[in-house]
Amino acid sequence: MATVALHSPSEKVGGLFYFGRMLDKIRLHAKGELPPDYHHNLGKGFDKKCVTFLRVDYEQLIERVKQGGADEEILQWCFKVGRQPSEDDIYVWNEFMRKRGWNDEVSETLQHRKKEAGMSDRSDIETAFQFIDADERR
Amino acid sequence: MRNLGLRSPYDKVGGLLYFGRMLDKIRSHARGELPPVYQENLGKGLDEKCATFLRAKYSLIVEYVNEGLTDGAILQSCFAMGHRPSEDEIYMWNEFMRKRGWNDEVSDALERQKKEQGMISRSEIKTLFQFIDADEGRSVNVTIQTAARGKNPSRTAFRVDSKDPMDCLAITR
Repeated sequence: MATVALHSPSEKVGGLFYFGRMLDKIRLHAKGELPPDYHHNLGKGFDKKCVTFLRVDYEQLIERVKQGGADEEILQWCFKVGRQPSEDDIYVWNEFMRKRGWNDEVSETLQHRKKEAGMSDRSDIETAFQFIDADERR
Repeated sequence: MRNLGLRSPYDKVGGLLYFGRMLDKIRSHARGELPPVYQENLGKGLDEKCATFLRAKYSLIVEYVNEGLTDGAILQSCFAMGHRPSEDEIYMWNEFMRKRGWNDEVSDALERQKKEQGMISRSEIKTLFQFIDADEGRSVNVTIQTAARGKNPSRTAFRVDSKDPMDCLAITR
């Protein structure tokens, strides 16, 4: 079970799930405080989905985060260099992300991760977001 | 249980779930064959989600259908009217639609409809798509791959995750 201080993926920045967590990971990594088992997936998985949704380059985003600024400021930068999604787009994004892992092509991986983390009996954990929260003791 | 000759919401046009069904309903309505209970929701609910996703006006889609355009031609017209979604956007949209009704703000309505149709014991029906199929006499799709990576060649453009094998492994951190 991880103890790293990251935001829950369910916490929103500018109405968007996950964005704040992605920034947290970048910041912790830059400070050398992100645990090694998080390194491999930096810029992949949900990070990749998020930057693809915003149409920004992950490497550029890292540089922007390193320059400093609040989450909201960085999101505004994403809107400027990428695109500003509509409320409807954000709704679809949030629902897509919130349900990721339930009855889809990552469900098997989720089950595998649950087993590794000793959570096989946690039938309440049906999505990746729920697993992340449980894994990080939220 | 109804057999109205409408396509399943899982059937795709141009890689998009539901779009063909929306057109079928419009055509059926134009012929005076769409039951009243379906008419109430024309242009609303999933129809509205679909038109909004395409940034196309539902009333114009109705016009295109009534002009006798093919599914493909109507979709192209929608792209021209609104925007042409990327593969990533289509992927997300399809997943959003496919899971609609599970653990969200329409779950209660889904349960009510199941009750009304005598399907309350059908625990395999967890989404609107599954309910629609059951309600119209089709077998309920409980597999993942059929919806996400079907055998229809038109669905191949939908396999965004297959570009990055690590994507599936990268869900938790």
